[in-house]
Amino acid sequence: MFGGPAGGGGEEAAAGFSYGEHTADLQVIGWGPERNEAIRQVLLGIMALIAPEGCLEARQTIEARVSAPDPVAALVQAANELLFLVDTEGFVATDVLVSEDPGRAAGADTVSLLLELRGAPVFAEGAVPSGPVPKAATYHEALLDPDRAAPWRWRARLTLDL
Amino acid sequence: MADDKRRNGPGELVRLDEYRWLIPQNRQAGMRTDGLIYASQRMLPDITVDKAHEQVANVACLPGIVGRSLAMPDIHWGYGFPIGGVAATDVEHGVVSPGGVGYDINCGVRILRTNLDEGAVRQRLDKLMHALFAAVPAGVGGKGGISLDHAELRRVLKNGAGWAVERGLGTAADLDACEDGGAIGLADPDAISNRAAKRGFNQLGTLGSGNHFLEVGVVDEVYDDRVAQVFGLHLGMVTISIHVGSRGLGHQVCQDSLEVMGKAVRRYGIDLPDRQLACAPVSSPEGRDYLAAMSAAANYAWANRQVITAKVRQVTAATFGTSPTALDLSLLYDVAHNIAKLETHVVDGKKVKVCVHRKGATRAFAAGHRDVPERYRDVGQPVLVPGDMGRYSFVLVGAQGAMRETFGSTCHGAGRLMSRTAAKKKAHGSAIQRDLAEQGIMVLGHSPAGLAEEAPHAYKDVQDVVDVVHQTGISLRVCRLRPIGVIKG
Repeated sequence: MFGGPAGGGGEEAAAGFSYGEHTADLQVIGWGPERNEAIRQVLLGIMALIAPEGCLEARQTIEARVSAPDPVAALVQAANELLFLVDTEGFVATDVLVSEDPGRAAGADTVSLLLELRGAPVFAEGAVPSGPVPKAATYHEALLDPDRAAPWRWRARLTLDL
Repeated sequence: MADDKRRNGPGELVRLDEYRWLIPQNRQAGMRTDGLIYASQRMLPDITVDKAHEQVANVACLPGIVGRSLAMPDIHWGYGFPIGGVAATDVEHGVVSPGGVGYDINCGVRILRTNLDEGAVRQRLDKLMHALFAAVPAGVGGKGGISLDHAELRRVLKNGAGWAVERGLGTAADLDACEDGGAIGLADPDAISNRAAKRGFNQLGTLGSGNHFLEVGVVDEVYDDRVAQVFGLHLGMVTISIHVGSRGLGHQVCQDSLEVMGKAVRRYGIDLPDRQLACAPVSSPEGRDYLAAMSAAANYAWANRQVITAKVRQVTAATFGTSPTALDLSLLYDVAHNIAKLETHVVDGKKVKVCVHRKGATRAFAAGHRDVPERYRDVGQPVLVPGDMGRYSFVLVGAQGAMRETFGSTCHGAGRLMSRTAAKKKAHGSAIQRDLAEQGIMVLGHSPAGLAEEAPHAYKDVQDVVDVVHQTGISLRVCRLRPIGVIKG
């Protein structure tokens, strides 16, 4: 499923994403039973903002890696990696797998993630985004932690610069 | 004076006068100075409803901040810094923060004069707007942009608008009409990453998306005849505005720098209330590298606006069957809205070299300043303040109040009033396009959602913003421009 909460049931779904209000920009909130699923949902939420309808057939898989000093930085970097691919390759991910990549962590970086991105270079092929393409994911109010209000799940949040 | 102070609410803002609102240093732990917001009473509810004023307080926590943490009347909630934020830091003892510039480094605006009047342009407006829409690529990536190799990109990063002028895409007069002559000397192409370079190879001459635009307008009000004459503007003149920045290259420079600064914060033991304010001493290797990379990205933005200017001139001339020279398509001025600059200002009677962060703010140097082009030096620099696409924009002039109070800075636009989500809920892009057409404004956009997010109702009335900076004397009204054609990225 793409472009909405994975469980299809809004906030009560086991995993999903939603958008938060921000005067100039936009917040994407993701949640899931595990940390990496919460990250995945945020990434899907970002792609759903810009992906044009009818161009969502995955034809290509791209691997990307991010290493960061902490989980929040890894979340921010993962989102920026997707936006980098949109900007440079026109590549839109229709699905994302997020997994640990422990062998890669080095130096001050303690978190390393492998992103397997299924999608297509739709913008390189002339498709038009359905809205403004985010410039970047920011650290402002970024979070990635167990949800205190719903301890069975993790939550992630990013503010995007539009 | 103390008797005049009235609180807007518990723990909120303290009124200093009709347009100045103080956030006392004791409002929040870690503040090293007061915050000061320029706004009218009427604007305050919209400012305090979100977290913009908290961000002014957060910026006051930056080490080495000089004077107050400032916010212009177009302030709204940003990330790290508020949009409309201005902060000066001591170059020897203070920090530089990429969050004080933002991702779209040197997003800025320029205005071209013409010798056309509204009647002449309206006769060919449809043809002109569609020709501009076709000639200036917008949207994702760099489709339609100029392709650069490594060597040529380095020249762009070093020479900015001058790179374009060397290639026949402008004149020496254009450079004279740009802030910093269209290039910052601190730029070092080696300071940007390979990823940033990759994003810059083919995006030169493109508009991107979001709030970037081309706008055909008409001078419909002149407030100061003398200054307008010096600026070469008169009632009824058609103008063309270009609003765009450094595209993906600038975004990547900011991202790269934030990762470096995140580590620097720990290394230098800097305590910050918001991670997006990550910073390093101006004089540190990290600080110097950032300024070198940011300057290179700023130069890319100036080159970008210059390349688009060349396209606008070519298309406009072709539409009217003549030459750009015959239409007097001359550059009034080009200003940066997102930038950090090393400048000298007088603080407490002493000259101090500071790093002025302008995040959604405009330099507004007053008459006599040596950095104001000679032709404008007797009156002050032009300040270009775009509004929303349905109402108007303003040309102001820098004033002494800015030199005294705001490190030579003023507002940069209308400032958002409504979130993008709320704007989209209120009206569809096609309905906005139709409504504006009924008002005589032709709007072309690349996506209906993008148009909806940029709808006039999503923004403050720029007139209110300009009233505040005029009344406080940090910049003064010269002309008002009314849009008749808009292309949204």
